Amino acid sequence: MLELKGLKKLFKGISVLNGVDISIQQGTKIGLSGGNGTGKSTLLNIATGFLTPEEGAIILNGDNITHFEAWKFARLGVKRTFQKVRFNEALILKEQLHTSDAIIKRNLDMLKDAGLIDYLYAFPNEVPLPILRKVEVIRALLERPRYLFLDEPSAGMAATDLHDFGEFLKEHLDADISLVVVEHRLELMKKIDANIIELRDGKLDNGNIIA
Amino acid sequence: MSLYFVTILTNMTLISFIAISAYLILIVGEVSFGQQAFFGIGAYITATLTTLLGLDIVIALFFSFMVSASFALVLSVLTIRLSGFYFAVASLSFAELFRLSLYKIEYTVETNSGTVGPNGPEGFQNIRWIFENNVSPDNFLVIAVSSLLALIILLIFMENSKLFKNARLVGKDQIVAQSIGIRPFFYRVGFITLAGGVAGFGGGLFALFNTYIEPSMFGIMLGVHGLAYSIIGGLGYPLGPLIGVFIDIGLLESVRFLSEYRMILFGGLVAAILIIFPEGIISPRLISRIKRKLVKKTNA
Repeated sequence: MLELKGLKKLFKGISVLNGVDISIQQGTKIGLSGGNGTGKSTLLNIATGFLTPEEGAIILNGDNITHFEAWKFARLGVKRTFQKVRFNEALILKEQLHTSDAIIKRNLDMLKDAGLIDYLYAFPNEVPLPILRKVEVIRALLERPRYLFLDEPSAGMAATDLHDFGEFLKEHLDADISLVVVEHRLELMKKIDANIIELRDGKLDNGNIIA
Repeated sequence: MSLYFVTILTNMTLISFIAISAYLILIVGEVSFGQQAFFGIGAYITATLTTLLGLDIVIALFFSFMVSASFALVLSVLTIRLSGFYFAVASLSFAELFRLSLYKIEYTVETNSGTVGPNGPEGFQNIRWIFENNVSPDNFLVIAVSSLLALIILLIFMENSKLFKNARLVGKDQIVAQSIGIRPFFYRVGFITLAGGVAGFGGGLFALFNTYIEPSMFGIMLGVHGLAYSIIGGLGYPLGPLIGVFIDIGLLESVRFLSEYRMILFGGLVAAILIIFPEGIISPRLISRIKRKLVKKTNA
């Protein structure tokens, strides 16, 4: 279980998160909604170790990991994707998975479903955005994380691609992976049967929820 | 081969060590203006060990590597929170600190072959290893080139290792690196340390070849050249820095009528090359393209 307790975060004196509490059980799917600037991305950055909260704690299976660096979160199975796809324009996609041929072989189905097989040797600028979005998810999924945070995975996607992306997530997320999706588009959240929680005024709308 | 030619080739080989050390730091995403200091540390260590203690050059060069690497390790840990411009300035400050300290270090001993030991601004004279061992310039060139070749071959083999791939990712995008569980600290410290060792090793060879070293030899222009070589050569492959060295010293210096204008030409040439090849001649993208072609050929 990943517990976020009383998280507070200030940016230049302005309170962005004002006491966020949530416990994420193994295998739950959560959709995090909220208007622009409500702190969704901040919450995601804190939950994955990329930002440190001013107050509060992050507890993973009973251990306090609040002050761990982001790479350690990833090694402990807490992984993420980014709002803007991050790829190295000088490398072919196969190398951007940063994994071995053996692991690629083991995940061939997932790569096929993502349409990545045809693009393994392509540079990022030769690949359509919806596929790049899936590659980001695959990159995070290859090492079988326990918790996966997706930061606006549908940004820049057309409606038809969104449907396809939802199908892909549904198909390839193991039942025991906990998923938190920051998303504006409710359609995607519904597709993956996510519990929708809204972040408002730096707090989650339903208080101390156990998702 | 004429002595002139041998000397040029030896100089090219020795400065390649600085270029490669700058390359290793560029791989992890930092720019160092201070690699000349590690070259200098290595030079003084080898000079001291061979003249004052009479040690074998293999041992002396080993210590040049280790001591320079240790200084680089300390520098990399102290500057762990600095990056980009700030790291560049810190590395330059360190190098100048080292160079200026050399002016104050005086410890000389009279020997049969004259006064030896660091002697402040006078430098370190009478590093007579090549005379005492009857090493001809040709033979020294062989020693230097084989050391460089061994290093290059090692780097080429390492290029496909997880270690180097992760290091390149850290250099390109620390955020993505962290998101897949790679610890940037480890790669940054490791590569800056290795770079220090490589420069130190080259410096040791330089001291032996030159038979005389002084603080002013390890000024910023030496480091800037090393950096420029690896930038114009490109970061795609370990041969990149050597191409930079070849263009500057090989083409400009060795063509006699050009050599007076070398610095002017080199400046212009660096600008021109970077306009045509913004990521250097052997860029990472070029290497990826070549790899892709090779894969397609084997699949076809």
